[in-house]
Amino acid sequence: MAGTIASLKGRHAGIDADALPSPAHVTTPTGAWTFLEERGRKEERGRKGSESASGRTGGTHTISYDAPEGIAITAFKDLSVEDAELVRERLMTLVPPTDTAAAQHLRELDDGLLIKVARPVFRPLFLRHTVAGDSAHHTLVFLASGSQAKIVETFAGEGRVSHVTEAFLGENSHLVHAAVQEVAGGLLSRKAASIGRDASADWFELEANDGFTFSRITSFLDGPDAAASVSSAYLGGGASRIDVGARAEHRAPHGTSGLLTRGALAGDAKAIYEGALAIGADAAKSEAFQQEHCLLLSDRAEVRASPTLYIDNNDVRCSHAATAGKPDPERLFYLMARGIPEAEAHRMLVKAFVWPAVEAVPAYARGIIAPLAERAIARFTEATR
Amino acid sequence: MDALEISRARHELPAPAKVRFQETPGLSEEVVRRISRSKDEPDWMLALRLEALKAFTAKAMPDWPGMPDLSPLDLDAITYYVAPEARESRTWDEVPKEIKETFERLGIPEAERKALGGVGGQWDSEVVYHNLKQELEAQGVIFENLDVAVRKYPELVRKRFGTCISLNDHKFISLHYAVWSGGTFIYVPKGVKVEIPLQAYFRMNTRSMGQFEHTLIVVDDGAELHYIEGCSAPRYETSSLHAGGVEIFVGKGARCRYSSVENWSRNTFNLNTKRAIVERGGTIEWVGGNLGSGATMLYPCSILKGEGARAEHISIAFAAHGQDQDTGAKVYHLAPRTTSTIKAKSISQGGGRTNYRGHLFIRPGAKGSKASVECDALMFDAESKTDTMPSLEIKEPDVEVAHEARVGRISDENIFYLMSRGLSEEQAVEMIVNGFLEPVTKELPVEYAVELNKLITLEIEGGLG
Repeated sequence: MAGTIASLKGRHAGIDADALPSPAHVTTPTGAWTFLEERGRKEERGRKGSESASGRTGGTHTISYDAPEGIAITAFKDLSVEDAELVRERLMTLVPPTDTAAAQHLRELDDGLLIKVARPVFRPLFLRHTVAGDSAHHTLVFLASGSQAKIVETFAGEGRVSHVTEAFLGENSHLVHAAVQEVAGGLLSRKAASIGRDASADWFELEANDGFTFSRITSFLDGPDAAASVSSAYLGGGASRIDVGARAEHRAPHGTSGLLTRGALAGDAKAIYEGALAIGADAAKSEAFQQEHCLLLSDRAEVRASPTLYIDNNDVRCSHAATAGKPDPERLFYLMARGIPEAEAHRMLVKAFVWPAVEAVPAYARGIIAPLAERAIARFTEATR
Repeated sequence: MDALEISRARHELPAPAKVRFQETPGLSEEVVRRISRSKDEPDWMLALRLEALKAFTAKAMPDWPGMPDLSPLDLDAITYYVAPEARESRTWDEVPKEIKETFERLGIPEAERKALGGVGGQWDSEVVYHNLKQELEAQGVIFENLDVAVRKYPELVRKRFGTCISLNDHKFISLHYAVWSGGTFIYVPKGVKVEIPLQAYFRMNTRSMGQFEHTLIVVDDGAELHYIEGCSAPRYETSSLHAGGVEIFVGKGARCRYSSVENWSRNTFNLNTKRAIVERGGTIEWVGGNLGSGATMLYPCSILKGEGARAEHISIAFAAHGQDQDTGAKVYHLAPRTTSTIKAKSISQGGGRTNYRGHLFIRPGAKGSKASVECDALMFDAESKTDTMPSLEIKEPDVEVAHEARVGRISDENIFYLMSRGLSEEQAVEMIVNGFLEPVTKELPVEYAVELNKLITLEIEGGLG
């Protein structure tokens, strides 16, 4: 046991979370695109603290997992001297505490998991997060050269959760990270990966939280021939507020990235999508594309989308596309004319719209994700009929 | 490869015109009052100017992510009003020699000879030459210097002036309203279709001059108008500022096309504001080319106020070394069954930077609306930069919205193919670039399309060295 959580945060000491700006967001003539202030994230939090793996306001965050051979998992509290040094060096380097939400996460952080993958591991690692109350949790993932891992994280429970995943992918390593998030209350989720030469990161995320969702997935293509993909889906009903964004930063040549986001909004739900593809001056021969599609199911649902491109090298191929609209009434009619009840037909159309995000998950991980996604969609269409 | 200096000699040499009245640099209430007095303006216009001055002083400089660097712009060093020696003239012969020479160098008489409609030419903040064909006058079409129109058609102007673009909108439009001078007023009565495009040509001459012309166009119900603008300014060391305003009102079932090719010199800051309000069944078409100026921030805006209103935005932006073209389009769908299409093409070369910055807003209740945006960026070399920053705010489900953007370079295969058919590399590149720009250039009148193609060819030739 090498020191406390506090010592792990050491290099970021002295940051005043409340003095920092809100995470970067788009501002247009009609206003700022952020729900964070609306949510009152700046409210005072109790500083009681406790011995257990609880958030400062007394919430609990338990993670159950079953580590396959080849993957070493250690809780931050149980780190060896060497691992503690590693964590201290890398913590919050891919998600720097330069905005208030990230800095608050660091301040409230009570525990985390260090995951090290030494070789190709084909059995998926399931991490089941169960939350009650407020908590902040961290996952650091290191993939050694040539290794592979599939990590599936599910979030369930009721509370307000802040979760950060930072992954460091060595040369020719491959990570598939799939997350299904169904928290009632709110979830602030940030994930980032530094991808080395020939390595790849495939992210899948399904947001089906009740209430508030803030999610950012950033892939840094740091080595040549790196690859990243994000396939995400969000489902917002009731009074959901969803703020999702995916970003790919190409810093080396021959990188490929694809960002795909599909969402369905009903009731009074409002969603913001901020995607960004950035191609640096050294990233010749990169290929990057981004898509965002939103299905609007009610008169009061709203979506705001800003897919952006920052291109500093001309020898690339980049594109993006965004669409928004309502379900096609002809398709609904077609299904009903075949005897399918309206509610079921509606569910099928929503599923059909969102499903391409699931299908983009690599085959060897899709089998795990599909039933979870199926269930979340059914729950959404049932609740928003 | 070195980017050679582009030959802009035709446009760049300042002509030594005698200046009749030039303000001292800098902005103050005194300057604004003097401008108003020298134009013999009604009280309501002076009051508007002073309110705008207050707004300008109160507002901070814009601070948008990724915007061009405006720090070299010294607002206190700019002269906000200059009236040249010549008075407004009716026929070409009456215009003073130096001014005439400059305009001839820029090709206006040729255009005039091709029997376009009335031509207004602006020289240092006052309209020097104005000619309106008799047929248009008989139809009741008004095509007038706006300074004159304020006094000659007070009800028409006062009803609309400043109501399309608010003086509080942003710092540079506040500045504009405080010191505006010159510009065009066009009124097309109900049902009148103006067959010939009307055009005006601007010019900035004096060192450190700002250009603040205001264009006010009213196309009444069922009428049609095509208006063309082109700009040029000679090159000076200190920064020149262009903060113009264009307000367009399109009536029910009316149609207005506004074409402009902006080719200011490299030391100009082009911070122009253009906006149109479109009533039921009306159509606004913006056709634009942004070639010159060191920094441009220009986002033509269409407000689709009435049911079935339509907007079409077609634009080209070209940025070479040292240029930052931050342009785009804004459309507000405020009524049902409104449609908009935006096609923005850009080319960046030799370290230039282009940015598409757009805003698409669909209000709750704007059922059956359709919007599509297409941005294509061509980058010539590894030093160039291009960004795309669209924003879509959709608050109504019964709509069809699509946005797409593509970025890339000229493919080597295409060049090889053309060269294998006997074209030189320059010709091949020119052909491909003209093909890339064709959707825009085909919307411009022939002589404009020709000038635009020639200008772009010059820019490219400089780059290929």
